[in-house]
Amino acid sequence: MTDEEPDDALLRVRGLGRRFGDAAVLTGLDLRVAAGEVVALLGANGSGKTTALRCMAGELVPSSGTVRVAGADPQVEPEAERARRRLAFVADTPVFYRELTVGEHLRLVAAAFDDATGAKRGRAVLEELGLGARLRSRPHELSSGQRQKVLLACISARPFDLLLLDEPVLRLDPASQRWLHQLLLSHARNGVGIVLTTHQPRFAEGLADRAVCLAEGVVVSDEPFETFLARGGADAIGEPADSNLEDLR
Amino acid sequence: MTRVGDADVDDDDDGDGEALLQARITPPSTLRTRDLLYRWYVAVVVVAPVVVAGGAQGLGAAAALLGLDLPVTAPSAAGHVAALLAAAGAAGMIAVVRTAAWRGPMVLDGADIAWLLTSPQPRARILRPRLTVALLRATGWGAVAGASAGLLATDVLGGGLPPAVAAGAVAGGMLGGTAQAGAWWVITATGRGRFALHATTVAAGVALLLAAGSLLWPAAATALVWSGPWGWAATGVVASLSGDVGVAAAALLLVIGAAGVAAAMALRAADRPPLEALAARAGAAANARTARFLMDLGALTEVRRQALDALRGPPHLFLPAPASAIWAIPWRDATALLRTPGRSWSGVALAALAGACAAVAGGLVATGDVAGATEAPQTLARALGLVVVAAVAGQGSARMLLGPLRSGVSQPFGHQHLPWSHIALVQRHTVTPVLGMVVAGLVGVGAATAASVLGGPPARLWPAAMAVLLATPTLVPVAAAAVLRPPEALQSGTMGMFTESAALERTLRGWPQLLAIAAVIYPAVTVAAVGGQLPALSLVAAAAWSGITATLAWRSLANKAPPWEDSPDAAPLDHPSDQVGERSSS
Repeated sequence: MTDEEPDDALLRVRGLGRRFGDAAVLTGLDLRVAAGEVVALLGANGSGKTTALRCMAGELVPSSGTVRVAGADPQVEPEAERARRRLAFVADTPVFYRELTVGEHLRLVAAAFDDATGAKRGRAVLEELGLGARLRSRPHELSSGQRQKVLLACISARPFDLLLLDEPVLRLDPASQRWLHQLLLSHARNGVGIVLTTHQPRFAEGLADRAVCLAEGVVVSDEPFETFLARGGADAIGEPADSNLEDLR
Repeated sequence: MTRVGDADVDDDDDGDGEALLQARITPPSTLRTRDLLYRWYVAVVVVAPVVVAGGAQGLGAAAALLGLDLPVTAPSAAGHVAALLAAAGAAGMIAVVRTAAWRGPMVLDGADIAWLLTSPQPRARILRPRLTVALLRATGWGAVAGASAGLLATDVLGGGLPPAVAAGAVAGGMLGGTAQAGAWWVITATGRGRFALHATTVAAGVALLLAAGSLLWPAAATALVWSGPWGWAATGVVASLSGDVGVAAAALLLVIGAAGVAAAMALRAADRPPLEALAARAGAAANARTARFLMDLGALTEVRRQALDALRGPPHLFLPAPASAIWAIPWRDATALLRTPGRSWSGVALAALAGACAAVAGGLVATGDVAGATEAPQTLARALGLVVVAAVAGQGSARMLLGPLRSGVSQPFGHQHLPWSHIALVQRHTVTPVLGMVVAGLVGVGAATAASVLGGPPARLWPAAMAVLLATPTLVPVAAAAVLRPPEALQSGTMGMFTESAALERTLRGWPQLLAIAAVIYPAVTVAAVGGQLPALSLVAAAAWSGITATLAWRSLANKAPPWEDSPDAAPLDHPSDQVGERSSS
């Protein structure tokens, strides 16, 4: 399929590459995510997962290849604005405005997307996550896990069709991880396309449709998530290809 | 007690470890001769002469404006000078204490905090020598400042130079030591930083009121002069000028006594500061040092603001959220400015200064009327000087009001979670500063008009306000382009990745400020001339010129790449100032 052909995919990535100086962090990534599809992007530290997500979100300019979000290029205005209205990105390190309270962040996001009920939805998420009493706190007064929850509430305060999540459970307690699992399932059932990276593949069990594994910036496997688990892929992430565990012991 | 690996540790290793520990406990570079000499070189050879020369020039200009001959022989002059010196001393002490509230009375190395202060060594053994050095350094700087003040007081009141300089050095030195000891008290317990911020705000207000009141009521001057060490120090200097040895000695003894008590109390409390307080201030100080090295005043302000922010309590003022996306970012910026009133007031004050300087410069060129300068080159030089001051102040004003944009750039929440493009986001961030400066200009125009209607002299208020209005459309985008620095700039600095040439290069990136200067010159000159009955055509020409410069500035801003794309080969870094005052992960 060429760029000109119609494609109903929410996310279409072709030959995506990114270099930092001389280092090729990501090379030739192809990915297609349809409505309601959940893709787990897996790999060891430094395999290029975060770089790939940031390129998809329009935060990094690809060195090669193309990214299309609902047909729009997230790098080129005015298409990029259209892309940003469709996609939501949960970065691994939540960043907030220092001067605004948690509640004001919800109102800002809702106002920016002209979503009249967005702030109310965000507050409901905070209540569910046990942060209902922290609406007047500023994010830097919260723990990193609580900030992650605030970020999830901010995402809930706006509409989106494609959700990109970078290590979403890194700082969450087990109960919140279960809550997030259910939330993502619910989004997927409602037609939201999801791409998530995680070092805890078990989190994606029952959620992800596909597992795309990266190693040193290159896709080494793209398979149904059940197949990935069945062949023991979850335990192999991060192991050197030629490692001999007996030697290490 | 058995230690793991005891058998492998020989005596030499233990000796090296002890020597290393002792070397770390000893205050580091601050006591090295080279550093000490360099600091004194800067203080005595560079700073003091500049302060004295600049102060003498300022005094001369002020005296010329007030129609006074120096030295002043009026009987009330000594009282006024004493009150002024007391207010200056109080301001200096307040500045030292407030600085301690966010960056500490002395700068500790992060590694020392992480390794040395967490060791079983008595904390007083580690901190007391450093506190002693800090007290001595503050005393030295205070002595230089006091001697300079004594010199300037001689210019105003006449009298013997040596006794005034000596008294000033003693009084200033003691005030410096007292302030540093007070600064130590600020960090000895959690919560004192917040108290110090509130208390010094009140103290500054009282000192300002008393200083202003002393011009009208001698009782206010008396109250200020005897209200504390700052007043005793001022009394000592002024009394030494008039040859009143008894009063001077008594006042100086009081100052010395206060400094001794304060220093003794601080040294006794040398082990009190909590590790948390020291660590937070060490981080802020490191970021501030980097910003200073990069010559990035905006970053320095941001570091200071964020560190102070961590000390302040939760916000109490809220603005109603907008219903429309158009006002989302202006609402966010207005909320941010509401919570940083110092930044807002500084912005307004700098806008007023810019307008005033532009108007006076315009008046000079239009009329050639300048006190004491009848020759054209002198007039032109003074006008150009004022125009440069106006442009810098105007840029400063716009940058103050663009503070939320800077936060937005360094904390890319907006980029990640809001729908607009980078440049659209930046343009939306300029709405509040433009509105703020336009409102300030309109208030000035209104005040000038009201004064005119009521029969009062509008003086240069009207042209000053018009200059602000005409320059705002150019100043704001130019300032916005200047604050769009790469977010990794500070991080690079703390990681030791920058060089002097990089700092210079970043500074030179402010070349569009030349545009701002050009934008101010013509409107200021023309508008001031309009104030001098030139035809309205000049006003139209000034507006047209402002339109051209503003168009160029907005086009330049629109073409500016996001700061994180300035170094396409560099991976984006998180802003280190995010870490100031933040809770650790739980």
